[in-house]
This record gives sequence, structure tokens and C-alpha cells, in this order.
Amino acid sequence: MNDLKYTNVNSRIFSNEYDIRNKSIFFIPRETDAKGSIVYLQSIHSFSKILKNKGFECVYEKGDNVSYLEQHSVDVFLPTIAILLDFYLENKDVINLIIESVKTYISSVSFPKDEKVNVRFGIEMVDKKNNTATKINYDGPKEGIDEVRKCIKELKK
Amino acid sequence: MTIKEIKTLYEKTMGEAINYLTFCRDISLQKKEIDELEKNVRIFKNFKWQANRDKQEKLSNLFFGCHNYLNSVKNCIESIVLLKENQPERAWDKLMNAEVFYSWASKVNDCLLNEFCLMDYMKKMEELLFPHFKVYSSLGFTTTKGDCSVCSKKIDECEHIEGNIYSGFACFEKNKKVLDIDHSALVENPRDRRCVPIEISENGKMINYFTLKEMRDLNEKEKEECAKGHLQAKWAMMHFEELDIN
Repeated sequence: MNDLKYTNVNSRIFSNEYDIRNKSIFFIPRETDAKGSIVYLQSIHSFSKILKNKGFECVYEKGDNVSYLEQHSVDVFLPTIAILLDFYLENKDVINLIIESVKTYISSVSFPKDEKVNVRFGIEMVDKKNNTATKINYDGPKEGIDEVRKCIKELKK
Repeated sequence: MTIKEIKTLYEKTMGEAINYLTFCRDISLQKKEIDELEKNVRIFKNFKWQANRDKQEKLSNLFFGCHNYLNSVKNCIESIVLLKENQPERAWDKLMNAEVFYSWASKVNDCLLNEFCLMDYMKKMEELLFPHFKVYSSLGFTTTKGDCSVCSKKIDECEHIEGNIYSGFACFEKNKKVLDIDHSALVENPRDRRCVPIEISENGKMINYFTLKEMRDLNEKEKEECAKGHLQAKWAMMHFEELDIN
């Protein structure tokens, strides 16, 4: 999973250009370059629709300067997501719902013959004021994702 | 036609087609069967369109499963024919296509997949008729935004989710333009198993990986590289062909 980096484009997303109070989920581009080109993962299209179905609007750049990275390995890559504290405090179940969306996405793009589907992701809570970060990593079968919820409860405290 | 008649047609078509999956069948009969399957794929697509028009989602999905399953068997027979015609690379591609068609068909619940275990048969074909591939190539590349295969709108302008089947039509992103290659890798588990080595260097020659036939002598530069312990290889890096899933 990409590090949470506040690159130029992310600064723009978090700036006044978007009404971030009413929006919810931000997709962090995989990379940006000096010319302003932005690269997202190709999975962003369907993943954002799944999140939308769960009631969340996703914010990401859609202009002509955007391209999408497609990786032809059997692995499925999902975009890095950022959630602001204000939104999180009003929607405490958001992380659970994102995890649920990951499961939905993986079920959609995998085939019944794919015997074993493993999932790997990290959740990082960054407190910029106190300069601290708490991180949860998961690496295991998709059925085990539910177990992560218990850890998330700890993270919320 | 009634549903019962359609089911009978499907079972009859499958029963006949499976008979030609046996390697030793006459090649001209196998080719004839391929034409027959092509015709039946079109027929079942037409059934799907009719069911779709009548807003019968479950039936549309069922016919989607049927034409993809028929296409899977057709590609298997084509693979055998191509092996007989000494075109193993193309035969491998066809077998991999067959797997893709089968995978889509198997997404449909209650699909008339037939008692014949096609997936097991394909696995056996792979093991017995083709070389073992330890690694495959896997490219990462950037593209423009494509269109939705279900509604033809831009992929981010509709509600369809990739990998799902909507009234007999699979959702995937099509008409993308490749902008740049980001990386290439050799992986054990690629998404596209058609990306295999075609020729590799051995004893100063390029050898066909499938047939072991000597293709050409290495040039001086290639020989120098081999002397340093590097392998020369000709590899199928990427297939841009979009399969006729819908």
C-alpha cells in the first residue's frame, strides 16, 4: 500500500478546491509528476462505485491529465484512501464499510475457480498535531477480514 | 422455442462437442464441429438478447453462461486442431482463452455447465500437451479511461461494477488506449497466462520453447550476453485481443 504522502495534488484535494467537510473519502494518486500528470490505479473506477453504493462519495481527480495504471499480475491493487478526522468522527463505521467494500470488490473481480483469495492492507491513523501514527496491517484470506474489525475497535479508542 | 427445447438444444450441442475434445478425432471433423459451435454460440447470444429485451435477467444470465461455456469448448477443440497443425503457441493461446470463457460462464449461478468437467479436462490438456511454464510476463501500463462494456458510457459515468454480470452482459472496461509502459515483471501467477516464453537461448542457438526446434544462431552480441550468464528470450509480453465474452 502506498504511503500517505501529501504531494502537490493531494494538497490541492485537501485545499478549498473541494468541499471536504461534506465529502468523505479521498483517493490518493499512485504518483504525480512535475507536469501535473496524475496516475491512479485502474481499480479506482469500480471501487469508487462500490463505496458510492454504501453511501460515500469519493473524491479524486478526473481531468485529462489523469491516467490509470493497470497491472497484469493476478494480484488486485486498490487505491490508497485518506479520511479526514471530521468525517471519521461523524461516520465511525466508515472503516468497517470500506473493508466490506474491499471484500465486495474482490468477490466481483475474482472467479469461482480462484480457490484461495488473500488480502493485504494497512490502516494508518495519522495525528499530525502530535506527530504520531498508529498502524494495523492485515495479510491473510479474505474470510479473515472480519477479524480485523476487532483490531479496528482498539484503534478507535 | 420453449425453454425446454432450448435446454435440449444446449445439451445436444454440448454432447456432440465434447465428443470432439478427444485428441485423435479426425481434424476435418473437428473443424466442422468448431463451425457448428460458432453457429450455436451465435444462437445462444440471440436467445440472450431476446431474454434481455424481455427484461428476464436470470434467463439472460443463464444464456450468457451457455454461450461462454460453448465458446470454452470451441476454443479447446481449436487448441487441439492447432497442435495438430504444428502451431503450439497459438494452441496455447486458445487453451488459455478457453479458461477465460469458462471462468465467466462459471460466474453464473445455475449455469447449465454440464456434467462433463471441462476445467479438469483443460488442466489435463495443459499438463500433458504443453511445456511447464514456471514464470510468465506481467506488464504494468498506464491507459486512458475506457468505456463500460455493458452500457458503453465512460467507465466512471455509470453504475456497473467490473466483474459483475448484468442481464447477460459482463462488465469490464473496454476501448482503453495504452499510454505508457510502467514496468514489466516475471511472475508465477499472472492475470494473463498467454504471456509465456516463445524462444530461449541454449548452446548458441535460439530454441523454440514449445517445440524445442532450433530457430536461429545467436548473433555476436547475444553470445557475449550469454557468456555473462544472461539468458536471451523472446517472450509474449502482452495480448491486446479482447475476447468475445458478451
